[in-house]
Amino acid sequence: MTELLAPARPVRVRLDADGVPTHLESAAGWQPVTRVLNRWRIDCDWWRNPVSREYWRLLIDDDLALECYCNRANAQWFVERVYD
Amino acid sequence: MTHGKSRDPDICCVRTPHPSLVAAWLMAPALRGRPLILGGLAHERGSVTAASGEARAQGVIEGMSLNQAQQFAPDAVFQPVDEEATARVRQSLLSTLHHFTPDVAAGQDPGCAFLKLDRLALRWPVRSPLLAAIIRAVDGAIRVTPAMGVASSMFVSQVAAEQATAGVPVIVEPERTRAFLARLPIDVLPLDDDLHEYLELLGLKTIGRLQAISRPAFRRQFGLKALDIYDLALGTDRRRLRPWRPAVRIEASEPLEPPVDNAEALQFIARALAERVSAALLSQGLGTRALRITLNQESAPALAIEVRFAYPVTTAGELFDGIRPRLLRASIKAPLERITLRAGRLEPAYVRQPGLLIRRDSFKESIADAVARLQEEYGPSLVQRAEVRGDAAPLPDHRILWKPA
Repeated sequence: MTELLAPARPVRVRLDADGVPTHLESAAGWQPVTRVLNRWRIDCDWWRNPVSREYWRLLIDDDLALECYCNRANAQWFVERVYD
Repeated sequence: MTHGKSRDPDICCVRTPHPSLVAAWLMAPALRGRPLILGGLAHERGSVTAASGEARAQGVIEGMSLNQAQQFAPDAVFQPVDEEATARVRQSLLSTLHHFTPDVAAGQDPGCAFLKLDRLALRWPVRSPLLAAIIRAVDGAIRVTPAMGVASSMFVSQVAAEQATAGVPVIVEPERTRAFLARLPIDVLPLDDDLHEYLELLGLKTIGRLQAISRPAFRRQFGLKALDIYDLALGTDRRRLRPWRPAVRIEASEPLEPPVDNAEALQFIARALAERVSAALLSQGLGTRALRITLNQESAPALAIEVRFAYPVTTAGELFDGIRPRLLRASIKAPLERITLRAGRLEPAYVRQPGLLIRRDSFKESIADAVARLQEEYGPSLVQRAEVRGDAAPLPDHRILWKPA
């Protein structure tokens, strides 16, 4: 089961030199990204409301899997899905 | 064929298989078309309450012992009668007919109901579309096609319905009543054993032979009591149609002596009342969509609390689920002297029985009720409805539109 966050929640992210997320900020402070589980890009709807996102499935602190995306137009990060 | 040509009443008999059979088919549609015997399991002591056509074809009749029935129909499915489901089927049939006219009566035979069609002449000037609509409505409610007979009396309409095949009404115009009955055996008359034997001894095996006797001669021969039978043989049925009325409300009340000011005790009593209301609902095959709890306070005005349900509920648990949170929130200012539970907006309680009487989707209604309760408890924003936009980008926040549930 996953929980879809609607709307997706903005989140602050620290990136390494290659643009890979290393930490996510939560109420408990900065949480380390222990593993990148998956990564993919979505470019669609270019003819009306262009969407360009980079999706990341991340394992946080060896405990919690999240799906995040970065809006490539404005470099804003969001958490969209939380895995059980 | 026009309706209401003469002053004779227009009575329609709607006949379905025994409601316990209908209930069993609704609960397990796979049983349709199979020999089915209701009354108990094959090894049990007891007698057959109802048997499907397939079981009857093998010689099983109502009243026969279950053991004997198994010898006649070894492949038959034996089941006990589900009394609650049977009551629901009966209730559903009557309330379906009640939608057409308030002149509805339950027959003595459980699968039989009567409608007086006279008041429907304006709405249905032609009879055949009315009968087709009744057949459709009954089929929609309990998933069986009824057999129907229309005549100028209850007796003749019932005999006509017995002659009819499902979905094809037999209509006996008043002027043809005598001829219609004449060809039938005397067995269709409600004869006691003595009179039956006597008539047979005299060689009176058809109603036509009986009609040939004059009334005074019949009276002299068989006595005053038998005249009712003679009249029925001519198509005269003096019984009046006793209208069935759907229950409007069901109420249970409990005085509290000494007055109660303890929330736990109050809930305990409310639960007991919910069980009483539930038992009354079950016995009539009904469910309620609205409950009113009245709390009479010792030195303060009575409190009235309304509980609404998204679908007709019947069980004590469901009723109490609606009552409990409201009791806990009620602003009770003084000890309570009496608590009253009144169930209104009564409807056939079919939607909670999966597969029983369902054209509607009970699952959806259960969800609607759960949503209503969650919203009431936690606010309307907690539960939302997702609408999928097929033409949007394949991203959750584009394709799914969240709306209030």
